[in-house]
Amino acid sequence: MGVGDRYLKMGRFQTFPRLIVAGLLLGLFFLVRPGWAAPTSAIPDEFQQQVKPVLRQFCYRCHGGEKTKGDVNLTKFENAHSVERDPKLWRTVMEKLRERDMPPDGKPQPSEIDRQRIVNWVHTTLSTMQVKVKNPGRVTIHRLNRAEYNNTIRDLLGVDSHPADLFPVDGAGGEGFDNDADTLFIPTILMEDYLKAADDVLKQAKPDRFIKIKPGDSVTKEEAARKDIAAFATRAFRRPVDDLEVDPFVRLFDHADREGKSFEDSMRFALKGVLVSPRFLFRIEQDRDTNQPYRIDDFELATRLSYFLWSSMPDDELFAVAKAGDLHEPAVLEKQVRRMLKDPKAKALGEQFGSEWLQIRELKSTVQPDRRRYPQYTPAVRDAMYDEAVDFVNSVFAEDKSLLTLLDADYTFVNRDLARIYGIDGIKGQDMQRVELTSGKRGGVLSMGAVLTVTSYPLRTSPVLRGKWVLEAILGAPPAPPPPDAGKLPADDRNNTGLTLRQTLEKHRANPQCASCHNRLDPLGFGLENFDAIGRWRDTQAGAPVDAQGVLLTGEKFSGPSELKKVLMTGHKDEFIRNISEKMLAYALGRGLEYYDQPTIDSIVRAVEQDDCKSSRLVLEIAKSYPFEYRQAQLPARQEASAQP
Amino acid sequence: MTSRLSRRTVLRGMGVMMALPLLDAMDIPTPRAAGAIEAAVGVKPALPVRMAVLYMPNGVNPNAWAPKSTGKLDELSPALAPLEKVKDQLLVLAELMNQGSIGGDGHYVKTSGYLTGTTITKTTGANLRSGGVSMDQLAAQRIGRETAMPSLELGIDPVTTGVDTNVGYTRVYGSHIAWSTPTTPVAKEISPRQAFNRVFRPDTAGGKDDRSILDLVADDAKNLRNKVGTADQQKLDNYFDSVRALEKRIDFDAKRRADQNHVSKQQLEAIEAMDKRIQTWERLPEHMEHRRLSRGGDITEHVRIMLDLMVLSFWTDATRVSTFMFGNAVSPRNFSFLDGVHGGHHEISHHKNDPEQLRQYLLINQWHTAQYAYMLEKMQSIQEGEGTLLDHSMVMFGAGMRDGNSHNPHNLPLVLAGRAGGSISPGRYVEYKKQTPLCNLYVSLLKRIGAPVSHFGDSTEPLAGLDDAQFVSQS
Repeated sequence: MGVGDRYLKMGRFQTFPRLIVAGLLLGLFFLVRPGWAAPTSAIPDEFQQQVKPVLRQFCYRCHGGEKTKGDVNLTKFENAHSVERDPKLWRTVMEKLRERDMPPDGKPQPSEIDRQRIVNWVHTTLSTMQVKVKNPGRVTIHRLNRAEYNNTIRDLLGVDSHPADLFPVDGAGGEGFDNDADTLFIPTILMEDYLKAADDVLKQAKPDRFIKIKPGDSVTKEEAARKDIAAFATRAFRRPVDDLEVDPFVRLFDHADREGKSFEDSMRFALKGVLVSPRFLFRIEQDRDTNQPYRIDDFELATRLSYFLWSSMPDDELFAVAKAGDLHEPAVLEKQVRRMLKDPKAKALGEQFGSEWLQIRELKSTVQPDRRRYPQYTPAVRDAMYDEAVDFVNSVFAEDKSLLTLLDADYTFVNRDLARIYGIDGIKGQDMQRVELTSGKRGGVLSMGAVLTVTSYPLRTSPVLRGKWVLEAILGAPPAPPPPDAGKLPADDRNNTGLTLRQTLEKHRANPQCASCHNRLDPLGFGLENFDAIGRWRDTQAGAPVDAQGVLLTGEKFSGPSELKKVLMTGHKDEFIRNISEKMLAYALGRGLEYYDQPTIDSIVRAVEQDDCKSSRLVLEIAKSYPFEYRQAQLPARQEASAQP
Repeated sequence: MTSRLSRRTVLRGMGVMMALPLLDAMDIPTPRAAGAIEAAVGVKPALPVRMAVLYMPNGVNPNAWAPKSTGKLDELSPALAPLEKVKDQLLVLAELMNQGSIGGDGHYVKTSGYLTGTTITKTTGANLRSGGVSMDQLAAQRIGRETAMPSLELGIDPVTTGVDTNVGYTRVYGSHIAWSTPTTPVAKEISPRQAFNRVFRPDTAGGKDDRSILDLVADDAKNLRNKVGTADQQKLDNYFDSVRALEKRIDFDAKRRADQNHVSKQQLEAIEAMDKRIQTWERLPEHMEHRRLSRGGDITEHVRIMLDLMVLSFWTDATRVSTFMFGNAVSPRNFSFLDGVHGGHHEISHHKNDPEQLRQYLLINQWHTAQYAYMLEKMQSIQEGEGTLLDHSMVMFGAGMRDGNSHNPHNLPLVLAGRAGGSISPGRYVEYKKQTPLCNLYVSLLKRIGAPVSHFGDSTEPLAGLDDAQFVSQS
């Protein structure tokens, strides 16, 4: 079971106490220390003073002393050190508390404050443990996702018809990306689509894309076919192929040829086989005969690199470098990465990584602002919002800007319709165009229509959802889920209670049980209240001036989005850089992060910060990282099963 | 009366290939499992029994669901009111619970565990596991050989992307109720056109030539399988199973073709009408734009097309098992298109006992019930053998939680319609003993469709009283 992904979450939470604790509630009790990385063994008293009394009061009855339900005895733990020795158990304790599974319904419950306090303490303790194992992880074989299929077909056959747009939508996993190998499946209806798409794209492709050698005086039909198939399969399978692998497709060619089909059509038939082969649809990395982690070969590295940066197959140059066998040389790798980032195909970083990191895909499915309230929100505006975010993320990588540009920038991309929403004059046409931002109201992802709309309800903004978004997407510190009896705000901000949304929320936070989470969530959202539910600027709301002031638990005060951004960029830069590094590493690997990735993340963050947070540094460090270049060996399952006791 | 048309005429008439079983409605064969069904429930169905599940996200308004009194269904509750015309076809079942979906998360396990009766593995991706095969897929695996498609999975929303970092689950869980293995969710078709093509145009599934290609790649997958680790093997198995399923489909269609089967005139007309209706729907600008994504546009018509496709598939015996999802877990669908509703589904389902929220919640529930009623009425209007299509079916409708405000999988809102060929006696409201396993119902449904099992999930026994008009639960 995903031991690691729980650890990872703890890793993230390293940052969260700094944000939330220093101020009002939890800080009074504990965890207010600068120098977060201090070893936990130096602070054993916290367990005795803060954690144990709560355990004694609420947990020991069933999990200690006389009863040890579920074989869990919490009385044997006396300090952080002993907790570190059983991380598995304490991870479970943390989760059960965090999700309010424990204590069970009907038994006395600790206060929210105590609950959060223990959760935070366990997080901190486990996440500051030294990671001693060196493990590059093992990525499950990847099925191409929809975008990867489209782009690969485009680069393989020169057909840019996006056949996969009609395929079933891919689910996401890991850190939230739909290139996560574990959540990509091949249902029957997709297999059916693959056959159909293969037919279609081979019909659309120009024959010179797949026929290089024609039968003639010096070359027989069979020889030509075999060579053409081998050449195509080499590109389609993204590595050299041997005769044995080509044979079945040559048989397909023969089959069609015998039926009297032309050379071209017989080739199409053979290549249809290639396009539905598992060797094309999956990115398969060959196992080695070893039980040690091993460096993947240069073709595999080229493939990882091209799907990371382009969501597509390697191009001729990358193949050539891989074939020469020196892609893994740091200088060669760096040269290729820099070249690839400048290639227009790198816009896939914005389209795939960017859209999922920012959680804006829902804009194109379930998010629906109320049509009567927001008639300005048309499908065209929605698409422009989406494209703005994608183009903007793309620009940060294409132009090698600082990653902090993502938080605040003096430019963005709009078309006429979106410019109207933003109150920018003089923009004509429906093409997205770069504009300088001068008003000080906008710039960076926090003020983008796409983000502001997906974090709103149909009839109003939601400071809570926006706060949650900032915690997740920017700071990498997702809050716990609301308890089942959490309050509810009116659906519409034009309500009759006499209270503004803000006042209602403040009332909610007056309850200390609620405050433990909402003191983190709400202020971040309040800072964005100058943007309405479709991202338009507003100075007043329901007749009153917008109150966009907030105080973070770390004590920083701000009013309005630009001050909020400053606070995030100064006091919380580290969290942001760490978070985006984690997200991008997970995206690059196509798997969820594990506890053993922690040293890799630490070193990436250091390198990025030392290089002025340049976006290319992040990409380079990921490309050169241990998990990206290595793979954990695993015996084939057959042997593994028999090897187990 | 039905007039028989040759396959050729059909093809000319529609310009498409028909994947129909091409039978006259009167000629649908006795299911191979008829004997097993008779042994299990004592009634031998003359026609195949069909089973459908309609899943509704976000629970129901608990105050407006239950009818006033048990026994004969007389006065329906507000939430069920749209079912007035078909109330004598309904069994409203109370106090069933899904033990497997308690704890863990509020939504995801209530969706992916709905038909499996199991607890899901908490993960954002690695080691994803539903805990079991869903009961519809179990049925499909047992009786699916008899039809062109073992089962048909439909919905209107794409898989929800992303992971829920709050609770640590991938949203894949919340997007699937059908699981063909504990590690394989079955994707649903959400595009009316694609769904229509899959059922009624086998050319999209390839022909004899594709068969040879599929054979070849299946062999290759088998070879690769021996060279990779466990998780990789699961992926290749998934690939292999899908290839095999397509091969079966191709073989099935070829056999039908060789048999020179026929389709009834009414069926043909219904298929043609459906084709035109989908064309009309597709022409709406919103659907032109994102044909796979349902947003805006006419949600009601989208749902009805999908439900009609299901009915048509049952009627033509293209499949006997089907599921439909009104939405994914935590569906935020904006229901402001209903008069008196202002806001999103999930948001409103957290009503906090506020009367205004509960009122809107009920309106949303009623909309779902009304679509269910639409489907049942359609099935009732189709004559089949001595009765109607509905008489030979079991159509289950419900949610994975009682009340969206408390996420409680006790006393699940549940309606079962149809007579399953005579072994169900509907028109009643039955209240079972508290905490009766939902899986008991699944055991009873599986018996009736010809896939009997002794246990399913946490079942203790078959659900009593489905066929007994006088049944009263001993509580």
